[in-house]
Amino acid sequence: MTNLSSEARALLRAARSHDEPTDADSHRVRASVMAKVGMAGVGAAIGVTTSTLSFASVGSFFGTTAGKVTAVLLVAGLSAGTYAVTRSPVAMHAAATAQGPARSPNALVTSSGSSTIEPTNSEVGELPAASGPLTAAPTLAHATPAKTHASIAPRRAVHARRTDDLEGEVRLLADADAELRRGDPDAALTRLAEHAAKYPSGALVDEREGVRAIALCRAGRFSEGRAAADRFLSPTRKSSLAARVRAACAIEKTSD
Amino acid sequence: MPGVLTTRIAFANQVDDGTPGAERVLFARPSFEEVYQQTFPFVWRTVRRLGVGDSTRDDVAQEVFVTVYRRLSEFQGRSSVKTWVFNILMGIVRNYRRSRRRKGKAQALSSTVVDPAILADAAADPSELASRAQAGRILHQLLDELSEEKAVVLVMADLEGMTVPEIAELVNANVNTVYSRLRAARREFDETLARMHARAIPPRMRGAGASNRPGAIRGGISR
Repeated sequence: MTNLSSEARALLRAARSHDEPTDADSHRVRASVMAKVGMAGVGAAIGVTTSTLSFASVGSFFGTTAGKVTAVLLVAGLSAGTYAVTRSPVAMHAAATAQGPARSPNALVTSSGSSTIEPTNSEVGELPAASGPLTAAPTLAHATPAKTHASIAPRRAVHARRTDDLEGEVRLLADADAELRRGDPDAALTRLAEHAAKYPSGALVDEREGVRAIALCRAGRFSEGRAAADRFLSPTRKSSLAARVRAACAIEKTSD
Repeated sequence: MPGVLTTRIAFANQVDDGTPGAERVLFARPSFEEVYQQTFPFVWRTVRRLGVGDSTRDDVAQEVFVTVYRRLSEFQGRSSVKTWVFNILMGIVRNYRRSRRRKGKAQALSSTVVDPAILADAAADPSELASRAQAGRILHQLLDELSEEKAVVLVMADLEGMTVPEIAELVNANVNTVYSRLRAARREFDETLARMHARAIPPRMRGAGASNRPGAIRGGISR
């Protein structure tokens, strides 16, 4: 077997870790995948606007899992500019059938380190309600203990921030976005200020800053808006919400 | 059970010898989340190393996992999850590369000019590269110069640390074929790196004159 030269080996050694993803990469791509499959599949079938969604009942019935799903879909809605939050069939099923005590929706971090989305087929009815993160495999439904845990790689935490009231955060950001949609950026800013006061280090502070930048720019407060946009945008931020922020504040995207 | 991923069980006929009642092996199909956790780093690294640019890596990785999500019910456990995901990845990367060629961007790869200082520094003290993203950039440029088949085996063997039999399973090729590709890929990789050095460091900078330049190579490239 031909061996590489010492220079080539040194280069490969040095570059080996260069392409490793960060937790932010993993979270961002997962969120976009969830948004795509969720919004296209589940969301298209059942759409519930934020104004009619009972977040209290969501939190009560589903705890962390539903909160995460809701948050993902909210962020997806904010990013895509659809202004809609959807509830999955699984969540609705769980809402109707959950009997167990509510679990506190106090963290975004679970053993799986992420939110998951659910299958769209009819088998969802066999899922145990609110029994942990929902899974996607659209296969025969026989829930079992974590049979495959030993065979999978160690999991990494995705979120560093936690919140005690994810539903409250979601509601306020959704309300702010709805105000923007109605053409009332000042009202949106009021909602965002409320969010900042209640959740100074909440799970959705990045999204808050992005929506705030949009609201400020739409209110004609460009210098403040661009300052907020600068805080929100980073060279590596590629979300659709970032695109909305750039559009609202007339910020050109820097090329890679 | 809170915090536990729900696993669905499916049965896959693992032995197909034509005998009625052939052995059926219990197969636990992983959930999407499990597949994602297990393979995301691999997918993320591989799409970049196989020529997907930084600006489109998110999109390609997303497309891979959207496809994984939609086709997970087809996964029968006849190969490893990694191999299954890799085949999805390769289909999407090929489409990306075809699209890029149509847009006329491919030719830019072979004419990439590398900052001479980077290569000079690299050769002077390769360990310093560990802290420099430029090493990754040079690597990507070198990999872009290889054919897809060669790039795949070199990435899997020399960056992912896979054995040749593992690579053979991954790319569904004969072991001898993989050995042959890897030998050719390494030779080409070395030759391209040498050409880069030659382009980056003018002859007058080699030898004694180079010693006056901080970080430059003494005596050029020794091969």
